[in-house]
Amino acid sequence: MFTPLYEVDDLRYLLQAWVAKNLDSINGPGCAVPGLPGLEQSHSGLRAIPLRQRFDSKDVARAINELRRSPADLRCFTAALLNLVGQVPARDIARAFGLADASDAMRLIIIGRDRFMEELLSYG
Amino acid sequence: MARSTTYNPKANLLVCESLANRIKAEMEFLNLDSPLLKSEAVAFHSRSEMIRYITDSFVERWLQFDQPPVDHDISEQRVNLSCQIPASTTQRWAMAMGKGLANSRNDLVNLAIADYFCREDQTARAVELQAQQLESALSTPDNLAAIREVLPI
Repeated sequence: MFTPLYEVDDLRYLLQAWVAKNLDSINGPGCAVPGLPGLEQSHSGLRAIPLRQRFDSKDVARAINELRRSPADLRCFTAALLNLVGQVPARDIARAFGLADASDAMRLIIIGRDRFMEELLSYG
Repeated sequence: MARSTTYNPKANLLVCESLANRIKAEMEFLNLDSPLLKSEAVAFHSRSEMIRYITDSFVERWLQFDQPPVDHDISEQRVNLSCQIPASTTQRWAMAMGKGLANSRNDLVNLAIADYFCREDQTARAVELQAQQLESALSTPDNLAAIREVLPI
């Protein structure tokens, strides 16, 4: 298990593109740098490839399949999707999930994001 | 919203006990010094600001959009809540009372707080339903269409 490093907005765009079915055709992988997954060569040096160009809907579906093994993971990812794509504020999620406060909801959201990214990035 | 300052006149409001208890619980729920919450544009930092914000939005919704208050019993035993209310706010509230929204400032504040919690409960129920639908859509393999119904883009 590793702690993934990613930008939350990058993940948001990926999930929005996935829900909007824009990931169904595979995007070009760019000019990937051998040995450094997720980076490409640009005229000014190395650049991170946006997640929505690196992964397609099959990758997203596969990552969700892995999360499905654990109801706790699935619940956290549900909170993350509501927050990232549905734009539901953490405190409304806290109320709906019966949590003590918004910080608890934010923890759930962060776990959901991290678990999803762990699964997604494990495909390279 | 600007932070409350000490020179705003202090008012003693009489608020229904159950609503006052919910305000107390809400302050704890909002956990106002949590650094995580600050990123979410919380509009108030103190009980005074909270009651003002709640009553202001209630008054504006009624004055500008003619939204009726929820039907709520505000006749129960009331407790004292002190609150700082700036003069400009007092005028706006008085205008709404003059137009018939409430008989007194205390009634106005009680109606506003009841209305606020009614809205919060509605939001919580809607999010709860959305979460249940989303979770069940996610638990079924290859169910992109159902996920999109729950999360409109």
